[in-house]
Amino acid sequence: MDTALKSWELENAVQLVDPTRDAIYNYSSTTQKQLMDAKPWKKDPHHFKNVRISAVALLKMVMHARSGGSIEVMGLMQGSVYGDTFVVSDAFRLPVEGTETRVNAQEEANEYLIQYLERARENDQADNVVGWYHSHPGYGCWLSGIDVNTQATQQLFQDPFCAVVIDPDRTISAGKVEIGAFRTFPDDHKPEAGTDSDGFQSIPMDKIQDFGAHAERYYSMEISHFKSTLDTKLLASLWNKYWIGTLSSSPLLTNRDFGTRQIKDLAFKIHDANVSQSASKGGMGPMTSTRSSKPDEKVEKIVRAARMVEVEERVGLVAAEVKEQVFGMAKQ
Amino acid sequence: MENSLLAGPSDSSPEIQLHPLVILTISDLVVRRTLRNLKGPVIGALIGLQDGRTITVEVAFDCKLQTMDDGTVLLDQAFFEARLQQYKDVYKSPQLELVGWFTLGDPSGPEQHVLPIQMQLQTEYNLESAILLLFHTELVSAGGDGKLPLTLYETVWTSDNAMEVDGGERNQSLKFRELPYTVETGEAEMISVDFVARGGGNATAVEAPKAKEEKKSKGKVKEGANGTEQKSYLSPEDDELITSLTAKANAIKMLQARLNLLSTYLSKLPPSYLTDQTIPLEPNNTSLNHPILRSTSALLSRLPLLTPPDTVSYDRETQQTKSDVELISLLSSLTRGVQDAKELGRKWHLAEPRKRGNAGGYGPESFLLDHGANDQERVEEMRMGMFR
Repeated sequence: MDTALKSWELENAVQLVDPTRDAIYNYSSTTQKQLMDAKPWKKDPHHFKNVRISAVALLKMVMHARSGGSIEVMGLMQGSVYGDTFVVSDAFRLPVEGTETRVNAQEEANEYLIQYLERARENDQADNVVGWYHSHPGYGCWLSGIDVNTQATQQLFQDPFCAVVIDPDRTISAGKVEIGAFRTFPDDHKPEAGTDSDGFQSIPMDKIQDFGAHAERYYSMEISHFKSTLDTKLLASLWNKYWIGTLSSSPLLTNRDFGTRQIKDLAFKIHDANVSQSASKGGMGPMTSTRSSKPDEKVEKIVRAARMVEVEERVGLVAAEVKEQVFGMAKQ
Repeated sequence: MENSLLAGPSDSSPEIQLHPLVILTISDLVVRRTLRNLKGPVIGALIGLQDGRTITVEVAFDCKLQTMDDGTVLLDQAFFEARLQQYKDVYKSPQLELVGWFTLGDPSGPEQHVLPIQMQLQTEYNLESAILLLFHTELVSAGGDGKLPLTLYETVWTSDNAMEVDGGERNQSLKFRELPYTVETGEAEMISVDFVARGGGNATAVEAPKAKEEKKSKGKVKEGANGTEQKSYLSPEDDELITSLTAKANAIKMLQARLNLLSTYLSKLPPSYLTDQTIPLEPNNTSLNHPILRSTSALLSRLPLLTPPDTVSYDRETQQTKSDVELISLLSSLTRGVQDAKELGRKWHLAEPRKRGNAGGYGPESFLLDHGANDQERVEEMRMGMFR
């Protein structure tokens, strides 16, 4: 009975957790308080560069985004801050929908989130809210005008805060999680020449107006994910159940639409770069290096886009070839 | 070790579909509580959909406990109510309901201490049988050999005839019956689980603050560099190719393992009448598992279906697909080539500034010098100049 109780009380679980490799799950409110008091982000608008999202948080956010269908949904993320990195350890849904056109959706959700956080604190999950997430079904990961304003307000009162956007439709069609993390600049800040705020994005041309209009007001952060050693072991067991799907998938066929869309956007971008290139033809004489670096950024992006499309197609081809080799009896 | 609370299997048990989110939530809880040295059991509720005999277990959340005056440990009722309501508010379509709870436990089965909470849930929420998910921490270190370290139980009331009827109380004792379950995923769930399983980095945090401090001292890092840290020699695109190849390799290994299993089974069977006519027919050879043999036979007869009937057009299709992929590779290399040429032009221009008019070795080509010459044309000129 005693041993059973002990195992119930998690004492045996110590070997499940690796203190070094799982260190990110640790949360110390004193360290957090110190970091919060120092507020290095006030001096540097570009202070935060990375976001690390836990496996659970990611899963919850993507599933929430998907469950909303074509309606935008939103929620909050809990976690902490270390140096220039946001660490998102958990996420929870908010009972509001269709946030694109309603700025005051935040007020409706207030009651809910206060209650939720209080419960969490009672149950020893005192992680602060470090950001919000919402979905852009089908039109990519970027911040719309309203989003920018919402985020800017949050950054004024609730810093450190970050915004995460998920596109569930592109996630499904690409078979990869489409996610982006952003922070806005304060109103008086001018982004440096050469910094482009969108990372790489295939924004549908109809939305690009809205995107372009606000692109200068925010920047994107690098997202990386983490999972614990326990997660890894469990996922390995889970993964074995999916082997059939892995072998039988035909990415070339299923992702044909996505591939076509990417190529189309690539074409637009090349055309765009071409146009701006010829526009800057006048006054060729003393061409300074800074001026020529901007179109280079564009070209760099185009190259990366082309490479991404190539890799995806290659992966699909490999899948088809593997199938042929393993199951192709005609050759024998 | 026989667990006194276990009951035998039954045909009327519900089918359980477990979602990976539940597994990851529990894992997250375990890790968090361990690392942060939080005392107390890991306990929480499961919500999902009950549709006749099928129960889906989709979401899990942690709960608070309270110790009653008589020493029994129960769920904190107020906390539980509030939390449950909050979750039901956001999981509206379809509306999820409480289906059970989870905790850590021994692989041999539930122990006595789970009874009070089980009863609490079943009486408070009118559940005939609340599903109990036991997570076995001991089994995890054994490694992922395909079995998840958890077991699901339902409760059954078994009547104990030896006990006397006492007033209005039930004379039945509660027993747990193990339930088989399947892992179900929605599309989005599958993709994110896939993504996390392959690409997710490990959870070290100790390095992060130090590394960031070094970076801070170097001054502002330009965001425009696309954030790619050149620590690894593989670009993310190469990484992707490698992970997908690894996944395929693993999947093939699984297939191989399964086929081996089948062939071993078949080879171990006693010799049959069909192979050797001298062996007498034994109609009551009950050691044969006929369903398995039938399925194997069905599998074998379906193999010829894998070859497409019209190999000519199939081959043509595959060729076309291949050439499409190669075309895209070509596009990508061309784009890179253009970029390189542009770079070359720009650097050349910096190294050797343009002189207007007939300058140096560019003699006859000077007519190409016009105000609108862009980089590529200059590169052309340079090339021409170089070949003279």
